[in-house]
Amino acid sequence: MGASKHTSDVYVDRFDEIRDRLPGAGLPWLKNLRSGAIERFADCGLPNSRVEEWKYTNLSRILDPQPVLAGPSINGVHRASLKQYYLDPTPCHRMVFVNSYYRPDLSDTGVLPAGLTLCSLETALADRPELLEAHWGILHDLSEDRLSGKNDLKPHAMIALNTAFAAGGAVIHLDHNVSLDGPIHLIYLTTLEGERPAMSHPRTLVVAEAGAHATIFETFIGNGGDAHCCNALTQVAVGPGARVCHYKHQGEAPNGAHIGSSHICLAKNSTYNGFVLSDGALVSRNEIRVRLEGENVDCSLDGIYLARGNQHMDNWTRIDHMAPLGKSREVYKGVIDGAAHGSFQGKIRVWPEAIQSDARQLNKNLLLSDRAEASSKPELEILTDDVQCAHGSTVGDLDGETLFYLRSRGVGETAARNLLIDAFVGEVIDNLADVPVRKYFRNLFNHWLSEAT
Amino acid sequence: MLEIRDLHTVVDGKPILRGVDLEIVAGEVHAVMGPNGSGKSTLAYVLSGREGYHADSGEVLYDGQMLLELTPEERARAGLFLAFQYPVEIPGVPNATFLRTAVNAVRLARGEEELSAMAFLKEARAKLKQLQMDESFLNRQVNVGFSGGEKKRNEILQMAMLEPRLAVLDETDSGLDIDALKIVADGINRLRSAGRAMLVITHYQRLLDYIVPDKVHVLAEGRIVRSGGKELAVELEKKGYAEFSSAA
Ligand SMILES: Nc1ncnc2c1ncn2[C@@H]1O[C@H](COP(=O)(O)OP(=O)(O)O)[C@@H](O)[C@H]1O
Ligand SMILES: [Mg+2]
Repeated sequence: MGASKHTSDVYVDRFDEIRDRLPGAGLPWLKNLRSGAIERFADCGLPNSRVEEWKYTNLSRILDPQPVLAGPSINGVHRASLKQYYLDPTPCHRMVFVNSYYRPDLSDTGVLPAGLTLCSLETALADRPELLEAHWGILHDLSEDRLSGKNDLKPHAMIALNTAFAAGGAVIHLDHNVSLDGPIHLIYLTTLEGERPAMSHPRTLVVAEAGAHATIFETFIGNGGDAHCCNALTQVAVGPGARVCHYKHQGEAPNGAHIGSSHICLAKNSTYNGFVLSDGALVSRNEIRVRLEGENVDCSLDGIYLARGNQHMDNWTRIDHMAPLGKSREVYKGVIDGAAHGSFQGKIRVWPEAIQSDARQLNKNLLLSDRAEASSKPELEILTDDVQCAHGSTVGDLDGETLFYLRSRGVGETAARNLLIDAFVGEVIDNLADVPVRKYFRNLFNHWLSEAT
Repeated sequence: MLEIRDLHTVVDGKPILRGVDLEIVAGEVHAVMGPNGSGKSTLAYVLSGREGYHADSGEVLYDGQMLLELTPEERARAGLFLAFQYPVEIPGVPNATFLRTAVNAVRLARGEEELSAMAFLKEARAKLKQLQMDESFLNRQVNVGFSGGEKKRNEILQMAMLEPRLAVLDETDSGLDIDALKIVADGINRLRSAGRAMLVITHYQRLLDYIVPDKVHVLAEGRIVRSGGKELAVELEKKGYAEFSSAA
């Protein structure tokens, strides 16, 4: 761990410099949480591929030498450069963050209905610190009781780093039975800090109380071709009978890095529909932990990763069925071209009390070139009898006979390939429930296809 | 319209076509018959440009063009159509998308305008009706879960939509019951015209009762060993192909 240990010292020193200037620095619980987090980070060092959980991704490739921690003072970002990411046409609550800091001047939050809190992390720490204390605490509760009982995963170094440094992001709270007409769109842009590539740690919290209903869409982008690193963390708590649709687009700049982790807690009778599409960043990891904590939860978790050039995309998911009658559906599809590498590690764990759980997981990969590579590691751990579980994974390439069939009908080679790639992943996009979101991803995917070489 | 001269093809190191000569003029229908393994499908694949099926020597002229120099899509756009012996299943692609993409690719190449969704649908419905195919065929994924007969009808539907100048039909009769055979044959006959030629590949004479050819050729061991009128098909049906195999 020699090299990464050295690297992690830099982060620890930096933390000591800024700890008193972070938002909410005066809150004792937060102070403790941040100190604990930086200690945990120092203990672990940067994750490397010797750790099983990170076997497909070596972060030293991007974090050594380190990008500099981004500050709040970024100008020169204009609405014009963001418009292509807007959802259309829809009433929507849009918040824009630059290097994780909220930018009201670039945002359009619209009229907020009664019962919706939508604000920046800084504002929430001032106005509703108890909300953050409750949910941030859960993530970092390392007590033996919790670890031996419900949570066998300790937060890793990058989660700890986010907790230590997070100074911006969105906080969303929906009261009981509040239902939103349009989606909440969070755009996170990471760009240069001065002349140097920046590292940002955006932090999002979504809490939907009982019976509430919301669509949350997170877009992560980078500005120009700058090398940057976005280490994002999103927590979603879905209350009893509540429903959250949660979409994410990882579209960082081609030289950037994205490490995203989402933590989803689902109460009884709730519904969660998650979808992530990755087409950006040189190195990215998208990690999702879902806990079906209450009975009768309905959860879907879908993903598409589109990799080309030298891109590396790591998808890591963990679904815990912790209560009876939970249903989870997971479909991840990768299209990998050039010398890119796509990976999927997905584990489903069915706890002893989670009888009559129904879990299905599927990972499919389409390789478009001889140098493209896919790794797939689906895993089921079932600790009770009365369950239905299935998983599968495939890696294949475009079928020569099918291509010839299409070409023999006059369809050009590129068009034929695109038609087949679309047939492979397009269906996942076309089945998305929210029309504006579906349009967003459809345009994105068509654009990606049109850029094929 | 089509002139095949001394065509030789080696597939996987094995000589399959060993000097095929064949000429078809516009408006004619020729049948190519021959025992299994004699190279009929290989001939169809060489004509349509399938990978792995190249001419090692000889040449093919199509409307005066060197056909073998064109890519498969260029050949299709120039009016060549192959009805596959084994049509390919394409999961995830609706038949309508497949047909419309093909029709518009060919139209664009001819300098015509693309068909609108409405115009396409209207035309597709009319052709479906002629082939006694249900409209649901348009929504089904290409050939996925189709019966053998449905796949063959789907090939003819494509041909009807694409209106080729030269159609090569490879064992389009196999797997069809007598009613389906009549419908498919009607569909093919409807496309017979003065400007269009057809090469009908078949193992049995049965299809030729419905699609009466102008000429019949026997392909055996990689060569056209005999050519004649439609009565040759009847003779072959009686005698079989034994006299054309090297054992005879
Ligand atoms: N892709 C291939 N690989 C190897 N052998 C092939 C291939 N295609 C055809 N052949 C061989 O070529 C010969 C002719 O096959 P084919 O053209 O399919 O005959 P037919 O259609 O007349 O039954 C057969 O011996 C067959 O085994
Ligand atoms: Mg054959």
